[in-house]
Amino acid sequence: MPDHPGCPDPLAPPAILHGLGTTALPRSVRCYPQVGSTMDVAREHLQDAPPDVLPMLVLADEQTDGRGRMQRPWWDARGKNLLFSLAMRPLWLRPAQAPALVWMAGVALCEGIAETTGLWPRLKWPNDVLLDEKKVAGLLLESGSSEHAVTWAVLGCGLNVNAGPPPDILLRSPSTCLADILGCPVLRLPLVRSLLVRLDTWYTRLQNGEHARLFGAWRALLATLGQEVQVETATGVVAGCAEDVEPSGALRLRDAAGATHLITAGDVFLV
Amino acid sequence: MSEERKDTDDFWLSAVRELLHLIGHTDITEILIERHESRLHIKRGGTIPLPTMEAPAVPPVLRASNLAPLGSSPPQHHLHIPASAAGSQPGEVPDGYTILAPMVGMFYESPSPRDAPFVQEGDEIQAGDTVGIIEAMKIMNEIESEVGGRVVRILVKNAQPVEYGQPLMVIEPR
Repeated sequence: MPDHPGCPDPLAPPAILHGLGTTALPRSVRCYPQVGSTMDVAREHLQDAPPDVLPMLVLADEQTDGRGRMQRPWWDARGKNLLFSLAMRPLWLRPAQAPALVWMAGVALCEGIAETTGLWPRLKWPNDVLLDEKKVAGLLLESGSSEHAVTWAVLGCGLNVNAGPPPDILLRSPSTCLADILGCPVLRLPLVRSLLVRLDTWYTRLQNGEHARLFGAWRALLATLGQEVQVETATGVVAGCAEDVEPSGALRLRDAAGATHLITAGDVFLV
Repeated sequence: MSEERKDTDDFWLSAVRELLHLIGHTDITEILIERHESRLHIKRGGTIPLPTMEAPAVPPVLRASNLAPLGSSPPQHHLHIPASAAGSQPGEVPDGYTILAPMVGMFYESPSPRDAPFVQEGDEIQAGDTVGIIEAMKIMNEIESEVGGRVVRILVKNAQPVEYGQPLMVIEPR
């Protein structure tokens, strides 16, 4: 996969925030040349951050220990891509509603990419962002909750903007980057600003109780629906047609024998 | 409020929640209610065929772990199950503060397969300590105990699907 050189596109808080016009997020931005993982940095900030700096955006040009689901390593190229985490304390959200934060991120990413590049991404259930059926971005949410409220949440995102993983990296799914599809380098700054505006819009709607609207937007972007898929879960592999998603966000899959399976967690692969 | 819920509860969700609550608090392992042509069958663990659902010729399977809708009410804060004897028998739930699953998903006892469990039976914990993770749709949600004390019983296994409101572990408060 070619690496797109040039593109001196530094990310700094003043440039990101200048005239952004958002209302709920971010309240503060931290940019780092290199971190272990933006998730870890965001979680550290959450421990002692006063409420007026949250939600806080943590960006890095490079991660030395980036991770995805189940602590899997996340590949990146220094300064080429968008690597960020959003730290928040959404105490107004019940734990059973936490999937809405993942829908929010998936929808905002698709909308931000579409607005900035003219491309039309789709989502692989639950929230991998696809272009040309290849993964261009991944999302991860780490949170903590009591029985009644989400006490903290860190939303992590890795978006391949100008570099995708090299061919010698063994990946579970095919990947790409925006620049490969467009055939030219892509500036990160307008992209991150657009993403923040979209995140702000959906976060505000979610706070206002518009879960159903968000669910509808997320469901409409799911490329997985109607496809024959195989899902690897912690308890085994299930194969069948991905029929729909439940209001909880669970994937409804019908196997060859006609039985329905509801999947809440797992890796989906097209068959 | 309650009337509004009645009107929109076409799928007996409130009844299902009540039954899940009941089954989680007692030794009952299976509940079957039949009324005219409708049938509601809830069983602890495993999957239940529902022959009156949309494809009668090939019964679909409904996993009870996915019955909690997005907007459902939070589970009961905690429950106290009286111990019949001073020392509880294996399989018997001891008295204490029971931490309930606040969401549907997969329970993990540690941050990753290579890490040690957050807690084990006999451990002393503080209020706010993480006692496990529930994963659903790429959310890794750490379950924080609302009380400090001793972990007297862990009721779920690693990588086990858990249901909304399902008891996870019992804490003997300090």
